[in-house]
Amino acid sequence: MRVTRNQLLERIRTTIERIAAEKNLTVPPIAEETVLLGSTLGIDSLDLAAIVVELSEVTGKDPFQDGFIEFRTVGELSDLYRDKNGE
Amino acid sequence: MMPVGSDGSLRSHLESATVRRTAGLICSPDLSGMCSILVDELRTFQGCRVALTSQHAEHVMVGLAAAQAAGCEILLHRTASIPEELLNGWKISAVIDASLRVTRIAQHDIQGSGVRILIATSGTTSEPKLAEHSIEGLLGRVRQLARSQDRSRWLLTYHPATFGGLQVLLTALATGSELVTVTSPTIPALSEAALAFRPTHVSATPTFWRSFLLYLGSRAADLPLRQITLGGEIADESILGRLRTIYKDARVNHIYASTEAGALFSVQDGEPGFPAEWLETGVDGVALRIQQGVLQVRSPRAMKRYVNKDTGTVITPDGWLITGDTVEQVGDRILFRGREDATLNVGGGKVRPEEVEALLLSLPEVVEARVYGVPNPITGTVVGADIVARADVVESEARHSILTQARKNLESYKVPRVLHFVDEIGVSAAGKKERLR
Repeated sequence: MRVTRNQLLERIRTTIERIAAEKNLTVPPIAEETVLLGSTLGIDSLDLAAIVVELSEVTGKDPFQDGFIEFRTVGELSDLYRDKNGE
Repeated sequence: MMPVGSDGSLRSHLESATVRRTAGLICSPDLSGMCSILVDELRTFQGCRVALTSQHAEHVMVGLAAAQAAGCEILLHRTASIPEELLNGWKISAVIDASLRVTRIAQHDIQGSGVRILIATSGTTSEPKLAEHSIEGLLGRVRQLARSQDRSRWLLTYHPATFGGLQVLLTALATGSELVTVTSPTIPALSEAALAFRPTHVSATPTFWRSFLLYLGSRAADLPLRQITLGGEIADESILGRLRTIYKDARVNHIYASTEAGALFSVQDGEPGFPAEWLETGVDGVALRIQQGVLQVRSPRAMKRYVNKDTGTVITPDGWLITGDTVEQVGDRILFRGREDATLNVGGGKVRPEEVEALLLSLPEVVEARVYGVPNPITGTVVGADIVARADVVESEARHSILTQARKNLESYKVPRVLHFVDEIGVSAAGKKERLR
């Protein structure tokens, strides 16, 4: 399935919001620059693991299959799942 | 130089201990003072079992030292309260709380034989197992390490009442090193503490290291790390290589240890797995062999037993402990491949699928459930579940309700992160649920 960058960003946002709601956290506005494991979001490694699983299900891609790639922000994570030949 | 306690007791080591919590510094006069008061209170419980419910690292340090000095057996608990029926079932005579106050519970005869440490393993739907260790057994490897180490500053990334946490805590104590700890051990809190207090030694799971590097980004390279230790999960080349690259001057090693087997060995060359020649030579007093692809060990540091559970099945008739970890020889290395049984390792936390399935099956929406591991780049594995829901439930509502209940009743790492609703669950010829490996 072909997914645009905006759709990916939106998907990450809704996933974070859902996880935050399940933990009774208030969600701050999520921007591309928002640091995923930073103290602003209140999500932990397990939550991040869940987000990655969800993105793989949506896009059918596994950017980590050849090893771990570092990413810090919402924008950097979404870029990992983007189609390489542009939108 | 390693400062040697006057009589080698934990209490004497407290005299040179320092704990740094985000809010401030707790030095040895305070720690020794707390210990003296506690020893006096614990004297009447000599030969009895006392439980420590404080979750603070310095309290665990003081509690262990005081229990050793007063001749008590000490049970370390990972939550701040112990249900009443367990206090009785576990024959606990007194509880030491988060203010180090001692409350008498009841007189129990435990037929104690020396000072022992009991670690209550996690378990929410079932009674936790109590793993029994001797202080000497726990200190065995720590002492070996202590001889070769300078004073240093350790960051405590594990809960203090876990096997990994105790190793770090006792190492810091035995080497006169400073221990950096935080009140709430989240990735941001531990990362900020690392930036502020600049530890030289960090021992953590591969999952922690990946998250730590994600959080720190380019600031990671600023930390003056001299020793990096990975444990609790398979340390793969991807994370080992990343750490070697960022911390060129640090020793990168991974340890193989478990609650059952104790601390077995440490692999110092920074490569995954361990040298195949160890099968012939043994390592650190531990003998190793492979039977049907599964690692078996014979170790002087193995856990004595589970106090309240039968462990007869994990020891072979000729005295080898079956680790349950599958291994494979590749060239001159033995590499870890995963678990022989269905146990999942989620970020260092062990999950038995049956436990999660039992919880799911107890929910009104669920007709049938199968739990399995889903590979994950952050935590190695996450818990996945296939669910056959009752015909009349709405999927989105059922999903929400199932996850809410799972969150309420299971530790975070045991909660399914992938939930698939399916029409049926495959049954093998033997009539058992098919378990995905």
